[in-house]
Parts: sequence; structure tokens; C-alpha cells
Amino acid sequence: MASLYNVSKGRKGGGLASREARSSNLAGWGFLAPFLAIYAALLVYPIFQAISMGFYDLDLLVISDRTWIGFDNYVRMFWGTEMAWTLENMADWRIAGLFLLIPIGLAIKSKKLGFVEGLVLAVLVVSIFGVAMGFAPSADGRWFDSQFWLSFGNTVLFVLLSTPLIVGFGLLLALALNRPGKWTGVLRTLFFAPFVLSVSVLTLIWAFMLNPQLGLVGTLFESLGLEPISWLTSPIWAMPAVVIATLWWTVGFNIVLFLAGLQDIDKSLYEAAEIDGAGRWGRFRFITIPGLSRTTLLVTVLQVIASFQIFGQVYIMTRGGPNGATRVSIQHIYESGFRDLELGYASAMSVFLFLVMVFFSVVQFRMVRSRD
Amino acid sequence: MIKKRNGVAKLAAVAAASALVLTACATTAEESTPSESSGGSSGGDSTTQEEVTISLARFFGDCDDTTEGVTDVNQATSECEVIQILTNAFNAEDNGVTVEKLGGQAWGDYYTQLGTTFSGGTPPDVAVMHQHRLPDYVTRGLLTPVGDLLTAEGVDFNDYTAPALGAVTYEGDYYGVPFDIHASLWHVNVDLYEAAGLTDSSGMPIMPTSAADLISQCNAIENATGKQYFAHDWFEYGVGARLFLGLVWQQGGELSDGVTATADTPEGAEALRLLNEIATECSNPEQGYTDSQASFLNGDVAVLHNGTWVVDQYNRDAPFTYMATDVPSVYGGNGAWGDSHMWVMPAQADADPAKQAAALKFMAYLYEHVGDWAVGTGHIAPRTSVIESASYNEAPQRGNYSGTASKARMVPAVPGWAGAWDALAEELNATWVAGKSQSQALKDAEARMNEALAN
Amino acid sequence: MSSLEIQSNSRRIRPKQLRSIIFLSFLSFAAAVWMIPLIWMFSLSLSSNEALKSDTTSILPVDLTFENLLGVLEGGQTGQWLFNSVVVTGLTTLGTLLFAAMAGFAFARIPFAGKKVVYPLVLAGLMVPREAMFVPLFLMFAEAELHNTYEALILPRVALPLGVFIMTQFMAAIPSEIEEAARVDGASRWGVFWRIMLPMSAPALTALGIFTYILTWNDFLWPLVSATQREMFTITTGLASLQGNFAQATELGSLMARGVFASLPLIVLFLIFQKHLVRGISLGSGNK
Repeated sequence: MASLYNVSKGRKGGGLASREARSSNLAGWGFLAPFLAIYAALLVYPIFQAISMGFYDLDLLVISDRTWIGFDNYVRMFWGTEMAWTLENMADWRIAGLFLLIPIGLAIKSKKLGFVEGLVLAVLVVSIFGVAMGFAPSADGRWFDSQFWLSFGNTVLFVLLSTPLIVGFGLLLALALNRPGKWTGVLRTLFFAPFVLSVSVLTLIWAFMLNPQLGLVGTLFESLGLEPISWLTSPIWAMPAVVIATLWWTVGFNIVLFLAGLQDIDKSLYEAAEIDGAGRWGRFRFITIPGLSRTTLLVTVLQVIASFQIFGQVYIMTRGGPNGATRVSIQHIYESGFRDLELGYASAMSVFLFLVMVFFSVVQFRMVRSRD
Repeated sequence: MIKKRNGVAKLAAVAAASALVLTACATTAEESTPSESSGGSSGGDSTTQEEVTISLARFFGDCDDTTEGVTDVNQATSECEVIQILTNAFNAEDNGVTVEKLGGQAWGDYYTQLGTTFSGGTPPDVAVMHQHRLPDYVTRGLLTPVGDLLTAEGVDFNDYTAPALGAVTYEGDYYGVPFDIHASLWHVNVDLYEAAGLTDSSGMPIMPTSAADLISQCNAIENATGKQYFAHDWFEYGVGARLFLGLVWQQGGELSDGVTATADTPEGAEALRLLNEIATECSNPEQGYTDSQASFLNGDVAVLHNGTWVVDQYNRDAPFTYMATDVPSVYGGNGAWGDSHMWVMPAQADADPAKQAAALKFMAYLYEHVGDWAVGTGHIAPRTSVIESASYNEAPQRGNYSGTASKARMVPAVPGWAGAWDALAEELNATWVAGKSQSQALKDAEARMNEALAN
Repeated sequence: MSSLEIQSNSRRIRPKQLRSIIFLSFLSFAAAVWMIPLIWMFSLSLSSNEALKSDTTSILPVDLTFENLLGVLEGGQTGQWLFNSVVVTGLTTLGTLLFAAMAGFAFARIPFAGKKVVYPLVLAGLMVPREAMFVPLFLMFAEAELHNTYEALILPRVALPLGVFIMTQFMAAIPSEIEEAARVDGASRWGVFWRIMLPMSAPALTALGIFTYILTWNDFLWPLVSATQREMFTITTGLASLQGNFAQATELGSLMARGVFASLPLIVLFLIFQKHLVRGISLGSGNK
């Protein structure tokens, strides 16, 4: 079986083996070449430029005029004046975070996570929730960037809310729609259809629908005798509203991936299981779920990454309000770069977001790999 | 091994084919670029001089389908059509200049696009700009001072009203041609005022003269008619912050001394107090731009706080007696939020004198036609001679808010103001939408504004 | 009823069919509710702008009119924009599919030196916020004077780490026995790729093709700053450029009509290609 990380060095023997290794290498790089060439030039190179921009005080309008400031941008992001460490700062979130040690411990025990990796993760959890989150400006101080941690917190919240929902719904709908037939094809199209909308049309529809005075949802509430909620102006409901709109818009992506993944599960396994007397739930649990594990990893990683980078619909629907309740990291980056013209600072924040996403992806990959 | 090379050869063939297809398509695209200007210049140019083409960047939308070939500005029915027809007419003139419009972007994305053209080193020859953005560009040396250059083309800067001239001035130099002043107005449903007995002998509504007066009018109208007294966009576009600004000015306060921001002041506290009182007693703070306007046009609101750009529209569409008037002075002093559209000339790295001359010609032409713009859109003309002219005053409602021409004030001309303003608007919104404490909101607003201005 | 599975045991036909019918009905009802926002959008596009200024709460068109939709067709250079979008999106999709499939094949099927290093690097590309490296990319193309060309719209999108990720995952899942059998028969790597892996990856390719097409079609920020000349607009930037100030308050019907117009080609496309997502044939014995 060709595993993903199977790298055959191929230089074990002489002659034939090394020639094969060479041909493998040639083939491998040959197939990779077209993609890699464009990727290196148009993605990697700009990324390195963006990373380097993070070390400068760089103005969007006058790119040539730049000053090296080292890590100052990063200090500005993370820190503030009159910083102090207290036990009580954000105590509830920190305690909740420390509970993460339980699943980590369990994962180590059940071998889902290697011992070293688990330890690293545990240390990380303790340093973040136990130590790092204790820092905050004291009464006379201020964060250098009052919006940075706020927007990051909102982003994490969005990721936590949206990922299970959108992945779960995607799976459910894919299972439901996984049968041949013309009508099912139509249904598949209907559930997928929202994905074809551009972000401006999506937000237009939903902003209007959710408007208590002008929209359908308001009318629905009234017909049920309830007071219509002003979703987008409520500090509590604005984020859920964005999650719902995002789910409606993007779950089609996950449905499609899950459908493709379901195809790869050998049908004969189902038949064999049925003959053995396995019920529907049994077949689902022992064939479908394991069979989908690779696809589920794919979908979840992509969903987490997409949720971390959420921007368009939130920005247009709420502008980050009310009271900053829905401002996400990318909005802050965008505003810093394009409105406040601080390209260097925006780049530094992007680097941070990038590293966070890398971290989450690595964790997810490692958890699956250890299970293999 | 032979088969392996075969595979590689196929690969190369595919890559080469894709490259060929790409270049072919690109060439087709370039060839299909029309050589004439996209402004729809009508023919008949037997140009005796060399035709210079300049690029124009503007928002206001794209309406070439309704304005193709049209040069009579009286046919315009929107901002887009006025400016497009004016451009068409300019191109039709035998003046050796063709104006080519770059992607007419919607309002929201304009500065993203404009900013990137500056980064890339190829800014347009003429661009429209808001007054509140001018400092960002001027302080970076990105705009050409045009005072003397335009005076040579016949532009009389002394004809401009004080606010308009102030909008284009920075450290003594003029950086653009003011096109209009657009400001806050109160749009009044006169019928509701009349029902509450708040009109004078000639049927004009009596505007409040103090904060208490405002609230009592609010109660009177709500009791007499059952309708909401006041509406505006409480959270979408920072309209609340504009009224806040006006009220601060009316008390003699300021939001900035030119360097730092001062929101946490007694004037600020009083302005915010009044706004919240209006929000809870006289209005519906869950309304945004579209619904507040809809309510007003449906006759359910007595006063809508909006701007100059909707005067013609409301005049046409309101099913009741409608009047546009100045924002009332409730604290004794004058003050209403205003901004200005102006045309600027970006500084070019390799300045082409022919293009610069052409750009100046176009800017002078726009100077001459500010009246058409004002009449066609509802914005306030920036030139005194136009304000006093008969044609301007004959346009609907203009006489009713002529005072705004002098009362309107621009936001402080400080670089980085855009970010400061957004922070202020968000903090103010938090008080009436999210129940944030007013004093805390002002403190945070001031801190965040200074954060934005400092960087 | 031909689309339902028929059990060999005839005694069990009815309950299973009944269950299927109930299930499909429930699903169809869910789909109908799911569609409400889109139906509303469509009905708004058929309502006059005037009527919409006072009432937007009806799910049926108010003051039925086709002027909004017709207006889109006549507006601006819609034909040219549509052409640009089709060309750019089509070429990008084809290029992406080919490059991603090739790269996916390499990562999933070919042991080669350096794979362990390069693959994570490719994945890392997924996590780069686009708004971040947008300006360096813009400056690169500005220096090469390639703005306002098709290349500028196609090239940055053609190397899609997402595509490589998807194709790698799916190709790795295909049982290796098939490939080994072909190699034993003397097929070259390219032959295996072209004649076996690609057809077997049809669902993944279809999925990726659909995504790429839609994401490229709806791409806004990059075409906005790169294609500033009107003839080079794509349908999304072109239609956006028609918008005046506060458009949703004054011309909601037209806005929705433009949305309908821009989305319809994509829905049709999906309807046509989605059947490839569900493969009729089985993959044969053996699992990953």
C-alpha cells in the first residue's frame, strides 16, 4: 500500500535498485515540476516577501520608503503598557483551557498521540492557559493594539463554533445524498447551490433576510408571535448569524468532498457485513466511519484553515460589530494594511495567523498518523 | 527507460501547449482592447493636435449603458450619470484630450484599488478623493499641488466657499479641485410636524433650538401621530458618529487638535447623552441605512438624518410633504458633519508634461461644471457664484438647506483619520446597540483614536 | 422506482422502498427550505426597484418585471466580461486540475527523495492568508507589466495547494494493486497516470474542478486591482462596478438580478458535472 510518507531512498543495492531510485526521483520531480514552478514563483516568493515585510515599518502607499524595526511589530501585536500578571485575568477561559489536558492525557494513553508529542502539547497548553493568558495591562495601561487579541479571540471562537457544525452537516448530507439517481442529483445540486454565490450576493441576501424590519426571518418570527431579533446588531446573535450564513454558503464544499470519499469505500465490504448480520448502525460504525477517516481529516483540516481565514462575509455583514463582537483577525489585518496603510504591521499579523494555522494542522495530522 | 522519456516528453508537450494557449489568449485580449476611450467619446474629432489620453479613477459606479454617447447633462438621473455625461461631453470637445476611465469602482473598494496603483508606481492622472483621505496622500508627497497650475487654467480659487477651499488645502497649498460639499441634512416629513402643530404660519416645520426642545418635539409628535420621531442609520455607516461630531462642534468642542484625538470631553459626554436619549426615546436603534430610509419614505418617521445625496430622490419619491433642511443647532453653535469630493492629480514618477497639461485641462473643466454636479445630485456646490445662481436655487429644496454650505465642517485633516473614525463610530454604536457605558465608550474611543493616529 | 436498490428477497421490497420514499421526501422538503434564500433572491430580481423601496418581505415578486434581468444583459460590457470570466476560469480550472493531479500522483504514488520536505511546504501554502501576500504579488506583476492581461488572472491561481492536497489524499486511497498490475504489464508512469489514476480519481477531479471553477469565477479582490481596464473585468468585478452609492437601498432588484446572472452559469455547470461525484463502479477489492 502506498502510504503518504513512504519515501524509498532506493540506494540499498547497486545497479538496478539505484537506477530505479533515480528514475523514481526523476518521475517524482517531473510530475511535480509544473505545479512547483508556479508555486515557487507566485506563492512562495511573495510569502517570503510578506514575512520580511513584517520586520519593517512599511507604508502601503510608498513601498520604497521602509525602515527596519526588527520585532517591534510583533511586540506591538502581543504586548502593551503597564503589563501585569494576575491569576484572575480571564480566569474562566483559562480554567476551561486547562481542561484540555484531560483529552491530551487520554490520547497519550490510548496511543493516539505519541508520548513526546503529547508532552509537548501539554506543556504548550499549560504555558498558554496557565501562564500567557495571565498577562494583561493593569489599570493604567493599555494594549498597544487593542483590537489584536480581541479579533484573534473572535476568530478562535468562530473556528470552534463553525468547524464541528459545518463538517458534521457536510457528512450528514453527504451520507443522505450518496445514492445514484436523477432526483438525488437534483437534490445534491440544491444543497450545493449556495456555494456558487459570490460573497457580495451572499451577504446581500442574508443581511436582508436577517433584518428584523425588512427580512423574511423577521416576518417568520412575527408570524410565530415572537419579537424579531435584530441579529446583526446583537452582540450575542451576530456571531451565530455569521456562522449560519457561512454554513449555508459553504457546506456544499464538504458535502462534495465527503461524497467523493464515500465512493472510495469498497462496496463489497458493505455486502459482506450485511451477510454477517451487521445492522445499519453497525455498518456505519465499522465500515463507513473508518473508511472516511482520510476524507474526514481532509475536510476538517480544510475547514479549520478556512475558518481561521474567514473575512469577506463577516466584514460585509457586520463590519466587525457590534462593539467588535465579530471582528476577526483577517479583518484587522486588512484594515491595518489597506485603511491604515501599515503594510509591515499587517504582514507581521499575517505571519502570526499563518503559524497558528500551521500549528493546528500539524496537531491534526499527527493525531491521525499515530493512529495508522 | 525509453518509455520513461516518452512520459517526460508528453509532459513537456502539455506544458508547452498550455503556454501557447495562454499567450494566444492574452494577445487576443490585448488586441481587442479598443483604442478609443471607454468614456464613449462620440466621433467627429478631426484633431489638429496630438490626442493625449489621460486616465481617470473614480467611484460613483458605472453607467455606460445609459450614457453612451450622451453629452447633455440635463438627462442625468444619478451621480454616475452626471459625471459620466460630463466626461463624455469633455471628450467630445475638440481639445486634444481624451479621458479614459479606469474601473469605475463601487464606493467601498475604491481606496483599496487606488492604494495599490500608488504602490505599483502607476497612479492615474486624475482621481477623485474624499477630503478625509487627502491628508494620508498629501503627507506622503503623493499629490501634486495644483494651486498655481490651475489658476493659470482659469480656476478662481477665491470663488470657493470656505469649507470647500479648506478641504483641498494643506499647509497653504491647494491640492485639488473641490467638486462638492456633501453634508448631513435633516429630512423632514412636514405632514407629521403639522399634525403635531409644530409648523409656523407659512407651513414650514419649526426645528428644535435646544436639546430639551428636541425631546419635547419628539414627544409631541409621537403623541399626536403615533409615529417614530427620529431615524437614521444607527450602526452601518457611522452616521451616528456624524451626528455626534455635529453636536460636539455645536457646543464649541473639537474632536482633534490636529495631532491627537479628544473624544472624552464634556462636550462629547453631552453629545453622547443626547444621542442615547434620542435612541431610546425617539428612535429605533436597530435600524440601519436601508430600513431607516424605508421607514421614512413609508411615512412612519418624522425626521430622517441622512445626507445631501438623497435630496432629489426623496423629493421624487416621498408620498408626503417633504423638506430638506440644515441639521438644527441645539447647543447654540453651528456644526454639521461634512465631507467633500475633490479631484486630485497624483504625482507621477516620470511626469509627462503633455499628460499633466491634459489633466489640468480636465480639472479646470470640472471646476466649470460644479453647478451641473450640484443640481444633478443634491450635493452642495462648492462655489459661491454657483450657490447664488438662479439655476442652482431653482433646483428642488436647495434653498431650504443653503445654510449648510457654511455650517458644514469637514472632519479634522489628520493623517490616519479613517481608522480613528471607524474606532469612534464603533465605540459610539456600542452604547446604543450593545449597552456599553457611555463614559467607558468615550474613554475607549479616545484611546483607540489616538492609537490609529499615532501609527 | 428504477433508481432504488432492489433486494433479491422480494419479501423485503415494500418496507425498504417505503423507507426510501419517506426519506427522499423528507430530504426534498429540507432542500426546499434550504432554497428559500435563493428563491427570495430570484424573486427580488424579478421585482421592480421602485416597489422594493417600500417592501422587501415578500417571498413572491412584488410588481413583477423583467427589466432588472434585461438590464444586466444590456449593461456595461456584460458580454465581454462574461467572456473574460469563462476564458480565465476555464483555463485556470484545466491548468489547476492537470498540475494538481500530476503533483498529487507524485506525492501519493512515487517514492522520491525530498518528498517529505516538499509536501509539508506545499500544504503550508494553504495556510497563507491571501490578503497578506496580495501586495507582493501585485508588485511582482506590476514590475513585469503584466497587469490587465489574462496571464495575471490565471497564473496566480493555477498552482493551488488545495488542489494538490485533495488529489494527494484521494490518489493515495486508490488501491495500489491496480497500479502494480499495470506496471507489470509494462505501462510507463505517465501511462499509469493518464490511463488509470486519472479515470479512477474522477470524483476527486470533479470535486476539485467544480471548486476551482467557482472560486476562480467569484474571485474579487485580485481581479479588482489587477484588471483595472474595463475590457478586462471579469463578470464579478464588472457587475460590482455598476453599483452606485448605497445601491441596496435604491436598486435592490438590479443587484439581485446581477447576482442571479453571475451565479446561473455555475449552477448549470454543477448540475451537469455532479453525477461524476457518485461513481457507479466499485473500486474492486482491497482497502487503503
